[in-house]
Amino acid sequence: MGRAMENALTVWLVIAGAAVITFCLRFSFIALQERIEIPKMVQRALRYAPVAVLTAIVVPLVLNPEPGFTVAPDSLRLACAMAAFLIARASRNILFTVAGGMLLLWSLQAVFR
Amino acid sequence: MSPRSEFLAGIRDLLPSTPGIVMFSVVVGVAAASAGVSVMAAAMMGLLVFAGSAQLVAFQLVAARVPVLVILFSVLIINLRLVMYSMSVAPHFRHLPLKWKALLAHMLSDQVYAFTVLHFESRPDSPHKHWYTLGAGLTLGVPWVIAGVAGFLLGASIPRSWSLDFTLALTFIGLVAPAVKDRGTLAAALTAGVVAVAAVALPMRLGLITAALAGMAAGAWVERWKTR
Repeated sequence: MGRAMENALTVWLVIAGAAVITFCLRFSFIALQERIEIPKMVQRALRYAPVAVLTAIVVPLVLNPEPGFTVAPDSLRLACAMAAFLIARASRNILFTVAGGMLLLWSLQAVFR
Repeated sequence: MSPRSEFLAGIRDLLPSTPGIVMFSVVVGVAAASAGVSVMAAAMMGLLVFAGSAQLVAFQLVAARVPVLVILFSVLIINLRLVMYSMSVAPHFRHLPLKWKALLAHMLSDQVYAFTVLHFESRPDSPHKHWYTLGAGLTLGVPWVIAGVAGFLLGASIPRSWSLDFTLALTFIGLVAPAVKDRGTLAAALTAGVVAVAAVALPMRLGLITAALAGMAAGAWVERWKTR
């Protein structure tokens, strides 16, 4: 099997698997009603899933960590990410956050690069 | 309310969320293009998975040549929150035929869920309220798939010097920053962030899962400790 074909197979396996898993999570209680019960502690932990997952994704994107607990961020991007955090806190609007962050990045890149 | 007016209410309530959703989907599409998958794969991912963060991470991990099972486990962890949504709306859909249940379940994204719950709380006895969720789901779902394809085509044609990949980080900052609103969410975010940096050396990008689970545990622990 060639590299390209193997890659395409991987992609379609991922799509099919992700579709099935995601649907099962969404359908779980709607399908089974009260026949299952989640322990209180797990319910509590689930409430923190969005914040924990999103942070786990975004922090490495901005800080570019390296093995040995060191980070090597792009300083312009780091500055923009911090500004975007403030915009997001103030506006609670994704569109403003992304537009503001990108405009700032392009301005900083024009000045410093 | 009639089915028609419920349906229209769902569309009306979700319309203000569509620009943000369109942009998020464009970002996901750009990421799909840079991961080197086909446009058909990007479109099917949007249609069948309909969950932005999971789509994004899945394609990143494909590009990083992570084994399929590890990718799927990551998708499972990222989408665990959907179980909460399912649990919360289940009583309202109890009377519906299985096909309706399956269709509405698939449409439970973060925003659709949030608006559905608000709407259902205000009128718990409306017999046609499931039409609201259908209207809401289509209002986000259709633009989601189209914008994903547009983002893919865009991403394939815009030069790297535009730094469009940074929209990814900005989108997640826009999602997570307003969600930190008490000690529990703060503990979850800080723990997940620190562990994500510390665990970067783990093989197969397992740092993401480790950090997410650590953050969830920290949030739950702080909440328990606070309420005792």
